[in-house]
Amino acid sequence: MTRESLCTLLEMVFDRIGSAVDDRELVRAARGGDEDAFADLVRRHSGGLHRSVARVVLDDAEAWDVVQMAFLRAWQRLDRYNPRWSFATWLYRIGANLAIDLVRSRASRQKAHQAGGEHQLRIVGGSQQAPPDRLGHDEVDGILRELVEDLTPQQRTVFVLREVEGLETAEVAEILGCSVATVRNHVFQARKTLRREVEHRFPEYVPEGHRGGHEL
Amino acid sequence: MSCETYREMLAAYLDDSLDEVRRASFRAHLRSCASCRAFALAEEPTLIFALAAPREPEPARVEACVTAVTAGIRQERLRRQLREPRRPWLAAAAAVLMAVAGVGGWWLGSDRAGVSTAYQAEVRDDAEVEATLTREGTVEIEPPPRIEIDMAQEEVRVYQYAIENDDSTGAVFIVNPGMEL
Repeated sequence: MTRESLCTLLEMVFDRIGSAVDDRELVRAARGGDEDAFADLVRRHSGGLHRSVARVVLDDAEAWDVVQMAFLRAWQRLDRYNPRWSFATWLYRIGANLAIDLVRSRASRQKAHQAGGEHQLRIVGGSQQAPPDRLGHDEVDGILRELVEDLTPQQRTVFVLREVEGLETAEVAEILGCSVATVRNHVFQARKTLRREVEHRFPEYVPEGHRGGHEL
Repeated sequence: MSCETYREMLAAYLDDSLDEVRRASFRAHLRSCASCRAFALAEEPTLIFALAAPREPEPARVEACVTAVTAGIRQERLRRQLREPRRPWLAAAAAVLMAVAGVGGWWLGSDRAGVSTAYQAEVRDDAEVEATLTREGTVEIEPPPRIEIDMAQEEVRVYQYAIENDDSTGAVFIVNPGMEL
């Protein structure tokens, strides 16, 4: 490991520890009725939570609604917060449950949408041979948006948190209230489904000579 | 760490057997190294999703969220305040006072029944006088009462309006001044 990447990783770890400690102080103040302290928690975590939720519910505005609802629930239940967990994990747990509920509640409507079949969002600029080294982050989100509906609500939440956001397996398990083995199983199943769909619907992202080469 | 080492880590990454530090390092390298990325995508196309880097949200959107959450909290607090009066003894005292007044009134009424009946009739007459007949024979009603009470200690303001042309029905608005536009 290079010195530079080691420094980056250490920075990430220290940032995370520092942030968790600050969060606990803010939570303590918020429990005492300090609205400003709670507003600081919203400022810190709403962006990250929104990003994850939007990738699960596939709607930016609805994702903000879920984020607001998650923070209000957190405020109402601050007395139940266990400082053993990080505030972010606890908040993500509330947000993930709300997002899964939302996806489930509109499942039938989404099925009707899917009956239309064709994916309409093509972000690749006309080229069928987009080289992988020019892949933009918006493109990744576009592909995810197209394919994630093929997953169950649980699978897509786990996959987004673990593979896309890069959260730790144990943290995802705490958020979803399931075991580490269940998280791994969801990721495995999601990967299996998505691999087939990427090869079938976005072959331009799979290098030549490898397309369709995976036994499912 | 060399590209070769990262490529050897691929199987462990997919098995979820890498420790979290090495896993984060692998993901970071995949974003920065085009040849390793091509190699990894050829092996496992779903690694494309590991390339979605975190993006900072728009500050204005975050502030809008803060405002919405804070307003929700204040609304929740107000609702709780109204549900649970802060001075329940006041309500009890008012109930006792009303009971005493009722008993006193009954005692006075039974003692001087004639005077009392006449007085009540007068009051009813006054109320009826408020509704006077116009020349066309339609009833003209006085403008409805409008009451504004600033309950500073309760941190709320109460507005009471009578419904138009109906002085027996009222509408009460209880407003938290902090949330008024």
